[in-house]
Amino acid sequence: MAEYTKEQLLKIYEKLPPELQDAVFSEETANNIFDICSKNEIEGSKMSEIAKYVGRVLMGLLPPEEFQATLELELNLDSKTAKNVARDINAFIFIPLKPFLAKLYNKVSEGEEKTEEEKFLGEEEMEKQKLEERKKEDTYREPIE
Amino acid sequence: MQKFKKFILIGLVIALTFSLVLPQQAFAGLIPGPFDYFEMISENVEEVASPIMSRIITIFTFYGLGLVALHASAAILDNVISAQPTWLTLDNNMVQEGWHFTAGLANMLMILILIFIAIQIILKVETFASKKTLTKLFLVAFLLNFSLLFINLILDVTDVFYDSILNSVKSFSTQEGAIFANLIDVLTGGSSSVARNFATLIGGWAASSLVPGLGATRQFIISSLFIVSYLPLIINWLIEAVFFFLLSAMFAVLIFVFSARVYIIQILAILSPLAFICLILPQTEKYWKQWLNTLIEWSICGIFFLFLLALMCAGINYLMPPNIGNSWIAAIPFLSWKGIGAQVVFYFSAFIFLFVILSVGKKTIPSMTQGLINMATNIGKTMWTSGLKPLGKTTRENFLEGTAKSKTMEKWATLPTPELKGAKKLLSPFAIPAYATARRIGQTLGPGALDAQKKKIAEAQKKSEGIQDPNLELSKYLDAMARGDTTNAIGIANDMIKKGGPFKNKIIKELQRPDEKNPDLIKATALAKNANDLGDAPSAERIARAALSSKVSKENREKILGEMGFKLNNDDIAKGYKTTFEKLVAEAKNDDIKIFNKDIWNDPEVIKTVKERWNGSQLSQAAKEFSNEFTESFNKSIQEDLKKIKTLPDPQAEETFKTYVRQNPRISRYLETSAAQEIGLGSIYAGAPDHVKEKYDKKGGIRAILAEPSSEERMAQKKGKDEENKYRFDIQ
Repeated sequence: MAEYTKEQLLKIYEKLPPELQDAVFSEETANNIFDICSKNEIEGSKMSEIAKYVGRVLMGLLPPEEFQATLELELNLDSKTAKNVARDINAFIFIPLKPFLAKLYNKVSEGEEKTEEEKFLGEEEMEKQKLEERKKEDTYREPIE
Repeated sequence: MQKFKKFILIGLVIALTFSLVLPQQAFAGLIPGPFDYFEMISENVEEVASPIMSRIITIFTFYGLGLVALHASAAILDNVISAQPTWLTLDNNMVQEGWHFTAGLANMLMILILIFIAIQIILKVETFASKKTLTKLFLVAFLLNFSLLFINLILDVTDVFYDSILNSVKSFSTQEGAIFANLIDVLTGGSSSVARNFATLIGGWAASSLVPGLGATRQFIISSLFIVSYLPLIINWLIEAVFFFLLSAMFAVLIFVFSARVYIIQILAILSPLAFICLILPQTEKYWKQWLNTLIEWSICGIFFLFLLALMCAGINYLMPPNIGNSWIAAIPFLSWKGIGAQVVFYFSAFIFLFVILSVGKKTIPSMTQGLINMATNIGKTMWTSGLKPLGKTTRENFLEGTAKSKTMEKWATLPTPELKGAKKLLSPFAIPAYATARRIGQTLGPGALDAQKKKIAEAQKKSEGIQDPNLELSKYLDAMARGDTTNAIGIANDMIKKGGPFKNKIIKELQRPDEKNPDLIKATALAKNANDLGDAPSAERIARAALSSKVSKENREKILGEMGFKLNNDDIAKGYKTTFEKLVAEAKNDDIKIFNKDIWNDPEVIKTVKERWNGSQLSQAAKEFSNEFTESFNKSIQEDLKKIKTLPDPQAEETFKTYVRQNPRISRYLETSAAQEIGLGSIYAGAPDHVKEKYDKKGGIRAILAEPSSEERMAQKKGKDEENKYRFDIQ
């Protein structure tokens, strides 16, 4: 699991849509995690770790489908408990935010495919360049008088 | 001699000139004429008598209106009650036409239900007891066509009771045909009392005006014999008038009930076929019950109210005090006080009597009428309470109410200082304080004007919303302050704080500037005080929250808040607040948190309040708004606390840690599972001493600690058990 500094995480947080920003700090999210952990009798020190990975999912750093596996691998939760916790967290936290998470992870996967040049220039600049290239290629275009 | 004459001539010329040029002085002689004395006496008497007379006329008019209202409402109710049996008929066109329409509809629905049941039986998909329903269907098919007869039957039974009660009510009446003649006679004191009242006032007045010289005598009598002759009469009129209006209101409610009864029963009769249809299916049976209950309630309520009225007519005679003798005695000076006490007692007893009857009636009548009677009894309760209030208090309140309603005060409270241009600018040193004083008078005298002020603040805030330039908005704020237009200034400040960013920073900087007159205070002091004076506490709190950052010393902060008009009340002290600022921080919710100046999080006192008083929602709001500026200070403080706990010996460290977690369970719980673990809001349990973690990890960590009873609770439980054992021992 990749490690991030607080500053990096804060930068990522600031770029999130407001709905996901709210969910990260929300008391409701915290209460849901607390209740789910209590229901599944999670050990004391693992509760905050589970909350940490929920935060990572909400920030676009851990795809929801990998959440259960992460719990098993990183927290040594047995498969059944991890499955139960993941299912409940999915139902109470991730599903209500599904449209935003889907958009976020699509964006993230698109971002992964970007070339180094695209990453450097940013989306707007690249769009401009592409438009200019298209203009050059268009030999049938009538000259503007 | 010549010289002497010259002096006299010059003197005369000067005297004549001055007497023409200078204003003439009025001459008041030492011995006035004989008629001057009479005129003086007459004027003095008029000065005393005139206001008394105007009050007497006002009260008498009130009495007269009450009398008219009582007679009118009684006459209408009389008609409505007597005409009930005639009005309440099911033979009229409206009921007949309506019933035929609904009966046709019900018959069609019945066929549909029959088909529905048949399909269910054929397909063997019965979802309810079809056979039982089928029996009901045939029964209803028969009954619904006789539903009018069924209602007529109920009405006939109620009519028997109604007529017999009506006859008994009429038997109490002194006038044939008029049900309430006796009741009104008793309450108004009869025609002789009314005649006495009119004769005393109108007759006496007219007679004295017709005979020359009697007018002055009348005024003399009024002013000298006011207490012994007129005051008891006025008291009497006032009590009677209030009672007349109360009774008229009660009669109005009854007029409505009796009139509504006719139409409601007729509408229920029209709907009866559909109600019978509802009886077939178990799912719709409740509507049938509802219909039947309403029909019975409204049929019976007429009888019940008539019975109560009969009770009232019969009972009122016995309340009449025997010592209220000849009403003409009340018109004679000194003797007029005779029986006034008994009169007052009579009306209060009668009032209580009616009140009890209304309260009893309330229990047994349809819910719609209950609402009306609730209203009437509430008016009664208010009258009762107001009657017992000390006179001084009532007078004071009336005065304040009067001034509050005053349009002038309202206008004054929001009076803007006009912009003085050109030569008029020279007047500004006088105009600004003059307008400010006028506003202050308006604000002080008119609580109604306070609403106008609040409205004006909201308007100013809304108007400023469109301003995009922080410097421009600040200049508008400064301009409003310079003109002494505080309502406008508060509105602009509110908007700038709400907008946040550079707007908030600019206004905070301005609000934090030291006050020129008192360097201990800041500019925000006067503004927040004004907002508090105007009763706009949210604006005052907003200004205080925005302006009081850690730059202001702790001692000064409390002083400033005191000057702003904030103080702790008994409830706050009971909640454990030690300072006003602590309360201001602790009770900041949602958007209030955004208002704080970012510097505030550097203050350890503030962070202490946050740790002790806030909940997860408040923490999340502050973290979202201030990000690192808040979370770093908050986390640093928590880590320092945990570090201190770790330095303690093991058992003490465990107990202290548990107490720390329990001091604010909502925060401990929130921090444990907040999804923002890595961006500033981390677990407390993660920083617990190792031996505590070892002990509680398997049990669920913080969950187990929060579920455990605290040492105080354990002590209390132990004490309880000891007491119990001791008691057991005593029994043994």
